[in-house]
This record gives sequence, structure tokens and C-alpha cells, in this order.
Amino acid sequence: MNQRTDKEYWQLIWNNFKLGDRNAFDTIYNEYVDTLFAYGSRITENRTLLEDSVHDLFIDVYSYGKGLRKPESLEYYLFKTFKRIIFRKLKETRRFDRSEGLLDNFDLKFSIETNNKAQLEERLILLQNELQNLNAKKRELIFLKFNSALSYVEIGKLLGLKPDTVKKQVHRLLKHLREKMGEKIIGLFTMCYKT
Amino acid sequence: MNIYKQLIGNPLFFKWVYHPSSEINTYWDTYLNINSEQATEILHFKSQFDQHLKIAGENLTAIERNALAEKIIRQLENIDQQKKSGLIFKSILKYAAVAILFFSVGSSLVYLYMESRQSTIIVDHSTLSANVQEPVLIIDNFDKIQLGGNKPELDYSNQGKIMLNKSEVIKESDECKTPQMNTLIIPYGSRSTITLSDGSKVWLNAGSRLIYPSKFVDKAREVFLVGEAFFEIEKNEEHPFIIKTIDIEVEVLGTRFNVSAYPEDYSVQTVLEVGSVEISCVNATFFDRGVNLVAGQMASFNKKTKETEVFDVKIEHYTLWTEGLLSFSNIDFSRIVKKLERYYNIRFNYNNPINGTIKISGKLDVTKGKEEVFEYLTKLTGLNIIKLNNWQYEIK
Repeated sequence: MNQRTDKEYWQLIWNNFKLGDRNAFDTIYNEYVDTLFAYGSRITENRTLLEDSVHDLFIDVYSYGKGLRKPESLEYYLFKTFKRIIFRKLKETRRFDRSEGLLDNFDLKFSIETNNKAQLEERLILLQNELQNLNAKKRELIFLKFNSALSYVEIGKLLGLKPDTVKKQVHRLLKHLREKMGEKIIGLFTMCYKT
Repeated sequence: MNIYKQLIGNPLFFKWVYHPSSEINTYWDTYLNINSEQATEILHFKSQFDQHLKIAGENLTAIERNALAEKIIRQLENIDQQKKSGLIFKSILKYAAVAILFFSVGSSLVYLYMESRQSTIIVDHSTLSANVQEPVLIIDNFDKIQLGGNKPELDYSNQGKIMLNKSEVIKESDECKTPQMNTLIIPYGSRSTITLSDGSKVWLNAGSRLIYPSKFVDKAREVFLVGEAFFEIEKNEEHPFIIKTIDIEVEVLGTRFNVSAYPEDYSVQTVLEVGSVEISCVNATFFDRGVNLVAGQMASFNKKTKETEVFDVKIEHYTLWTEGLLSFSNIDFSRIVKKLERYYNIRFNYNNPINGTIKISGKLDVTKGKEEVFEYLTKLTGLNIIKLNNWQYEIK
């Protein structure tokens, strides 16, 4: 059991993509476009800008990217480049409005599914509130943890945090949510922390 | 170490929960096998997330997703063109090689066309027909259903139900409004018929793949074909029927015709039996017009020159395969060999490649056994077909 094989698989697909293999493009696109788009949609609501960013992402990495010589993984490389492109585009559109802190609004929403409608509302509101109280960086962290195969090291690099800090944050967040929700939240957080 | 912490620490855990793919699933299947004593707990833990906690958010619609992919691919092609311009000599050599390889496939040309709309339907290439052993239906890139047998019949015309072989319901109708994408993969050695939700009927030949929605909701009824299929389209002037292939698009209102678009073939052939069709090239760059066929004509699109030629043909040579018959006149032996390879899922080697250019005429009933068919071919060509093993034959 190791995650290396996963990374090696993507490295191989990536090399094929760089050699002009369209099947490899399809594979990468299918795997990552939804996650990347979902990620971007939490930074900006501008769909056109996001679509353009996805477009530029693939074009950029195809024509300029020196390839994945040493980065940890393809996924990390895509997230990193995508984020950079979105920010560049946002800066262009907000040329006259530099005051706005760009990542103040990493908007993360959970939906909880249950058969009990009344319970649903309660849980959702609680969870929503909890997430609203987190700062943007923590919301981004949760998103990346749940939606990517990035390692703590890679998430750390994307967020400008130390890997250890990321790890602690994830654990603390899950624990924190569990405490806040008490019995109302599903058993999963409890399960994480009984030793 | 606590098993849950371990799972959360594994970067592939949430990927498995929220973005499963066949690779990820394989990884976890192995993991569960190795750690079988924890399997129950792990699966339970996963299901807690699965069932209860979803991250809501914006997504691309299927159409946006395809359109965007299309746009990117076109841009990538442009980049390639620029890169290539410095390597013209090399590419001429390459094309020459391709031309020699395929010269026996003959026929071709005419009609150039250009059109900006084209929505490539992106598919999971791990499931190309070449890698599949028996007929498979994939619903929404996810549910894989082995159809069994080598001549499955699918029917979508029963209010959203999917029927297999007229009797078995393989999927009940669901309430969801957006139609699901279905991919039917027919490997070499098999064939299939599909009745689409509008009542149109499609015969899918060996080594082919058809992508189509479970029901048609858009203005145009669109399907995507790799390989060969015969279409009998229900007339509906409000909703034209469009067959997309990698190289060309065929647009019709209601008619019967055959499209052969195998990736390994040199040309894409459209043969019209009844009615009228309009054919356009996906990436044409010269003229902005399509080709209209009338009954009894074939349009052959040459993939290399991007040109299309139209000629009168004997229809049954192109459509009898739906009944298990191969009919041909004055055609290169190698073309028949290629068809037999697909039909029986076998491979032929020539001890002298020139033999592939022998012209032959006749009719083959391929539903009969290989041996009988080969015996007939032996008589027809004066060549010997020698069995090397279960799937390889040599032509001498």
C-alpha cells in the first residue's frame, strides 16, 4: 500500500500529455476539471473567468511548463498553477480596486443529507455557522483535504503553512466541529477521536 | 496508530469518498484486502462521509465541460501546428509512411467544410473498445454493466427504462431530469443493436463505441460514434439528428444510412440508403460548406487530405453487415481481411503484403463459422489461410 503508484500513474499520464497525446489530456481533464472548477468557484463567482482560467491552465502547462521535474504531484502542480492564474485574472479585472483582500472569501458550504428533514435543518445551520466562523484559509484547507489527494506537505505549500500545522489544523478542525455539534452531528467525528 | 487518523492522513481517502475513479477504487480494494481485519470499520467510516456529508458548490454543466474541453483541445492543436511548422520535412515523411500503410484502404475525398461548433464528447479512455473483452454499457462514466453475449440488444424507448435483449430490465426509469450519458462499447467479435429513446434504431458493428443520452432533450439529437454503425433515424424535423465522429459530422432529419469511422482506417465513409444527409468536417479550414448526399451515394472523407469524395455505390456492400453478410465487388482483399479481423476478433499476417491488394468480389455469410468463410476466401483468392493459434492466422 503506497500512494506512490497513484503519483507515478499521473506522472506517466502527464508525460504523455506533454508529448501531445490527446487521450492523456482527456484523462487529466476528466479527473481534475470538476474539482478545480469547484475550488475556483469558492474564490470567485465569475464563471467566465473560471472557465478562462481552466483553459489557460492547460495551455500554460502544455506550452510553457517545463514539465513535472520535481514537484510533488501533478495534482499539486495543477492546483498551484490554477490558483496563480485565477489571481492574475482577478487582479486584471480589479485593477482599480486593489483594496479588496482576495482570499477573504473562500466560500465553503457543506450539505448534509439525512432522511429526517427537521434534523437536517438544524445540523446544516450549525455546520454552516461553524464554517462561517472559520477564516478563509481554514475553509480552503478543509476543501483541499476533502477534495484532493494532496498531501499535508502540498496543502501546506499551497496555503503557505508548515505541513505539521496543516495536519494539526485538520485534526483540530474535525475535533472542534465534533464538539460544537455535540450529539447532533453524525458519529463520524466521534469516531475520528476515540483512540 | 488510530485507524481513523491513519485514514484521514492518507491523501487518497477523501479522494475515494468524494471523487472515486477506477484507479482509486482499485487502490482501496487492495488496501482492504491487505487490511481485511479493519475492512468493516473502514467501509463504515467511509459511508458516514458518503451518506451524510457533502460539500455543496458550483459545478460545470456537462455541456460547459465538453465545450471547454473542446476549446482547449483546439488551442492545443494550434500550439502543435506552430511547433510543427519547423518540422515540415519530418511530418511529410510521417504522412508518407501513414499513406503507404493505408494505401490499400483506398477510396476517398471531397467536400471541405468548416464549422466552429463542435462539442467533443470526452470519454474515459481506459475503456476504449480495444481494451474491452465483452460488450459493456457505461452509464454516466460510472456504472459499468457487462451485457454478456456477443449480440446484445438495448432498448431505451420504454419511458426511461433500459431493456436488454427485449426482456431484462437493466435499469428502471429514474426521475432525474437531466439525461444520463450512455457509452456502449462493442469489442471485436461482437455486434449490437440499440433502440434510442426517440425510437431511432442503431446497429453497432464490432470494435465500435457509441455515446448517447438516455433521452433527447436538446434541440438536436446528438450521438458520438467511433467505429461503424448503421442508423435508421425516426423523422423529426424539429429535432435534427447529428452523428459526431472524430473527423466529421452527419446531420439528418430522418433516414437510413451507414457511417464507418474506425480510428485505424484511412477514411470515414458515409453511405446513404434512403433520404438525405448533410456531412460536414469537424475541423475543416478551407471552405465553409458541407456535402449533401442523395440515396445510393457514398461520401468518403480522407483523414489525411481532409477532403471528401462522393460516388455512387452499391448500397448493400455497406449495409449487409447488419444481417451478418459481407458483400463486395472489385475490392482489395485487405479490406475484407480487416473486416474479418474485427468480426471474429482475430489477426491476420501476410507473408507477402502484395496479396492484400488482390481485387475480389462476392458475398460472405460471416454468421457461419470462420473455417467455412476462410475456405470460401481461399477459393476466391487462390491464397492459403493457415491457423497459427486461436487468434492468429497467416495468409500465404
